[in-house]
Amino acid sequence: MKHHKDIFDLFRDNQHKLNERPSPEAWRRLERRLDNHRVRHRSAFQQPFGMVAAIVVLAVLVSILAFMLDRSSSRLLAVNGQPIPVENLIQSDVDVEALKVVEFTKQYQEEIAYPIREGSQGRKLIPTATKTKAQLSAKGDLLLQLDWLNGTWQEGNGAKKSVEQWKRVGKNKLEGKGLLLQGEQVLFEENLSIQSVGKDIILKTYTNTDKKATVYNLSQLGYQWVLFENLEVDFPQQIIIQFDGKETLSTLYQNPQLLNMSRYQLEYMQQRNQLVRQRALRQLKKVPSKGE
Amino acid sequence: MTEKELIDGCRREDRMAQQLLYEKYSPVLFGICRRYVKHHEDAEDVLIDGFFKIFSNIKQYKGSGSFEGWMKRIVVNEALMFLRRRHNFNLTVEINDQLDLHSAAKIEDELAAQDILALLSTLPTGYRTVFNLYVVEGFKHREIAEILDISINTSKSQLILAKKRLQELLKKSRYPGVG
Repeated sequence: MKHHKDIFDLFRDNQHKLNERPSPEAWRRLERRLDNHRVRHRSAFQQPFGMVAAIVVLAVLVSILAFMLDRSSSRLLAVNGQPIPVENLIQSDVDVEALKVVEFTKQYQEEIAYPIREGSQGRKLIPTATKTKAQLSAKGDLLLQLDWLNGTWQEGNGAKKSVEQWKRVGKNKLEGKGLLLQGEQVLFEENLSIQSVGKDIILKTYTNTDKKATVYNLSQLGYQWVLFENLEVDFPQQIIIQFDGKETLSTLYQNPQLLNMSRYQLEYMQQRNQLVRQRALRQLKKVPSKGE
Repeated sequence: MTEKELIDGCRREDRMAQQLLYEKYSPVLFGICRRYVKHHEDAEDVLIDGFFKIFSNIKQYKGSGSFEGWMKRIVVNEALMFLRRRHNFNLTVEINDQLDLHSAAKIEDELAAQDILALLSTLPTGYRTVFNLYVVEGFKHREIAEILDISINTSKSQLILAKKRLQELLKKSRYPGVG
């Protein structure tokens, strides 16, 4: 008997599948916007504050002038031999507020003069989530950073099935294989490896028909995502591999710029799971290993 | 880092906290953008606008309701603003697009992500927006009418037409169990 499902439920139950990590460029654009906002926010704040500072300076000048006049009149009083009346000092709210303004002005001027405080000696800057390849190779923690890749990933239960397998071989190398299967028949096979070569961390891909491997350099590494780039090839110039932290491994093949694609390039993309406007996306689910 | 610590960090405009929050919630919020906005690049623009608004207004979040829900509402609003700039919701459009679903062999109660996108992208903006607001966000027709500045009847008819059209497309694409 066929299960009769309402179309609304069908969409409600499956809409989470649209969850996808945006491109790394999206965060960079957002960050630039946040930086600009911060600068604008500061300069907008600076304008009224400049007026307050000018008033304070004027008040100080007037006070100095008044003090000097007072001193000269005191001298005259002393010459005249008249007693100087004792002044009663009363705490005034106005004075307290004025002091606060002066203090705040001072702090603000210091902040402008020294926008980045160095902190105490021995303190280190903490790296952000994204690391450069230089940091990575220096630390030699490439494989640890990419451990989430290990395992077998696949998608499709019907006639066609995409499979990707990754395993660590040796200290500085991960080996992988991507397959598109129709039953037992292999429609497409791709050999992959991620390894340290000198100072670089590279991704190598080649199929059985390729004369030589295509090499991509690691460009960025974030929390459970990595971006490899080779801007010399036609397509794809960027390969982004990302793990959603649960069960899905997504690999996005794209160019930073849109291009007119040849038939060969289109076929290359269609051999992946999904074709979304000049991007090819392969989404695979983790196959539990025997130990899990 | 707990959600509260993340929120506190974002209130202090701590960039690390902002990035962690972005890393954590961008997939689900991007999913919303993709449901409302047809093109991938436009969806990413809406996401950036949404996150910018989240970070700029995070001090207004009082902590009484779900934080994720609060962010989702901002992103949905941002998507609607984007659509309003480009579309008049009072105009209806006939559908002529052909649909070629990728995974015809899927089981009946499952839709692949690309199929959802393919189906939604065949709907005119008005139908798709009403469908999203009613089916996924759970708004009533009265609320949708207010949000989109259309009549309640327009909202109802667009939903019926969207449903009918999707049913036809799903049947043609061998999802016969869909009612």
